[in-house]
Amino acid sequence: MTINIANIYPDILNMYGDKGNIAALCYRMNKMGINSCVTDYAIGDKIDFEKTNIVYIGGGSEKDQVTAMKNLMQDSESFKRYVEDGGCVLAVCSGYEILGKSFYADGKKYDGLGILNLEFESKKSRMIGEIILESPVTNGKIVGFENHGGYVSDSEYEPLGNVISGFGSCNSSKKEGVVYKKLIGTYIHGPLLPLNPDLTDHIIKLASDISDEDFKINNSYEEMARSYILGKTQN
Amino acid sequence: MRKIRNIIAVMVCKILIFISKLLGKKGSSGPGSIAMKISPTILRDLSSQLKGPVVMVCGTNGKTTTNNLLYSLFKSKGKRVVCNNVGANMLPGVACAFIDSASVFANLKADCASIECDEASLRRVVPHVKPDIVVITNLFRDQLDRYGEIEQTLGLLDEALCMTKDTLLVINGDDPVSVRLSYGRKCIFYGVGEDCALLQSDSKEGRFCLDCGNELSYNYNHYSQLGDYYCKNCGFKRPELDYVAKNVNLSNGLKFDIDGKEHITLSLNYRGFYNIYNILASICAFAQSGYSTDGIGKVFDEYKPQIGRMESFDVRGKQIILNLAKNPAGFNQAISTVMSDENKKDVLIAVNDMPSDGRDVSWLWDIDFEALKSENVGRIYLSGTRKYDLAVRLEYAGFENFTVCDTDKDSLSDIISKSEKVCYMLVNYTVLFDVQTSLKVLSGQNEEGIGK
Repeated sequence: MTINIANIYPDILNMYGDKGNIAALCYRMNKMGINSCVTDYAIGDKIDFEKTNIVYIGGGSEKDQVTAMKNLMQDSESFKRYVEDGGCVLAVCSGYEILGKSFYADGKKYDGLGILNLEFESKKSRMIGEIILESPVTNGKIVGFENHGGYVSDSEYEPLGNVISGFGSCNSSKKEGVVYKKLIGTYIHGPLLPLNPDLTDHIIKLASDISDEDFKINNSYEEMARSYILGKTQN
Repeated sequence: MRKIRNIIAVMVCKILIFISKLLGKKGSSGPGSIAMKISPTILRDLSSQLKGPVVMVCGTNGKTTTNNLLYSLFKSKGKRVVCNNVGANMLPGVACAFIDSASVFANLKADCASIECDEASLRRVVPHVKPDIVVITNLFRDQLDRYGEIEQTLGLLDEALCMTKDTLLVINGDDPVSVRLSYGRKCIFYGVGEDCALLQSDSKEGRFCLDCGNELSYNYNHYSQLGDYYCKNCGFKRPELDYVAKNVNLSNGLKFDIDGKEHITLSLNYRGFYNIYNILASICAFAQSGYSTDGIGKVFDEYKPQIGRMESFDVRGKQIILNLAKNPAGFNQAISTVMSDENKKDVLIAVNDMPSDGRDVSWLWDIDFEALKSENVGRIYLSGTRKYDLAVRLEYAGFENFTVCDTDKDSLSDIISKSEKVCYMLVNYTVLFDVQTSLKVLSGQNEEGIGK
């Protein structure tokens, strides 16, 4: 089995160790005996959703976020269809924001791709620090780092998790991220997947037909890295 | 009244500096903040007594080395220099440096100043100390939780420079990001004027034109976004260089020529391509301060890299080389310097996440650790508070020759016993001083006493 990952604009959406998310997917698929094939798309490239199993969109500067959004606009219909048909997506930081109906960059409001019914607003003071979620997706804790000025006042979607420590993207209700069909959007980096192997495996399962019994991977370093963050946020 | 307040501030600060030196603390900002509370004008009053030039050195990497080189250049002309050469580079640290150079009666005993200044702090320092020259070494992605995006750092520097309009800028012309600050300002540029064919595969965070957003093209690219760049779309390109390094030879130490006001040939026994930039920057600032560059080669020959700048220790016949690296660009340069050493070696990497290191370590994934996959690298030791993040990083990259360890003296001693003849230790900021202290003890050097 081969899983094709579409890596969207890694040239500019690479702000918070986004390479790590791709590395985690590939490393763990390899351990499960799944071939992975990563296509790095550059600005101007047409994205081939037909042959894609997982779309990854990472974080970039506010300026690059606008560039990414403008370029993805031309593919927004096929992107929307891909998501509605159950295509797998992981969108992090600014990549998450551009999937909504609108977002703010450098103080200006922009239209997003409208794949998610979310209107991102913007706070003057950024929300920065370690973040811990209790997540129904992994039935456990999701850990990482957040650094964002954007948030949503209201979300109709299932969250990625409830915030135990940190800010989250829906500050009033202490929730972070969204899950819609097989799309996961979140502000959490760190990067996200190397610190959360259960979430990585969840995404791989969504994109393939592999089952729980098929693999056992030694997670000792990941667990130790997680314990450090969990310990840090308790103090 | 103001004079009395200043005298009290100076005395209190000097006593506190003395105590903190007795306690063996390095890098002093606490005494400076207390002095500025006692007398908010102390820094302004002291710095206005200077007759000679004030140079400030800013930029992501190379600030400390550039500033210390400049200090040595001024010293070689017999000048008394105010310098924060222990790297305390925010407002209180600058205040401390000036007070250190003043008499107890708050009279400054110095001719000129070379001040290292944190990019975000320049706008706080400039209202107190007016710089004649500001050096911008480079701007790389660094500690996003502290500084934000590069655009934000540019904004902070721009704000500071707007407050000091007649200041001359000395800018690394090879850096398309730093060059942005030159618009509408008096400026001279330095750079490396030929392709040095450096091996690299690192991230180039600034490689898009900041004027039009188009991807920059390069006639040649040294590392990161540094090189001879141009934009096909809007015509933005590397400015004409006033000081150019040429005939660069890196095979054994550093050899190169500089074409500027005068021609200078240097042949040095320390390594690191980035040191060419540090040397160029210091020479530019020095020459622009009105001094002749005649005979300055000696200063660079005698220069001993500072704490943790490829600092070498001999421990039981093994060579240990300690280097500070705080961000992807710094680590990638350090790794490429390690790999240019043909000896078989072990490598220790230690990363902490204290507030001054940056609490967010996602940048570990932007370091080209893959370059360490070589027969010449024996074991890789991983340490610091984020040692397990490093372990995941290396595990996912397919390394098997790594060990997670601590960096206390006994652990280091143990690593050195097992290690090859050469061991490089690449560490970030808050790991540095402890490791350096342990290495000094292990190498039998006496612990440095009071004084710089």
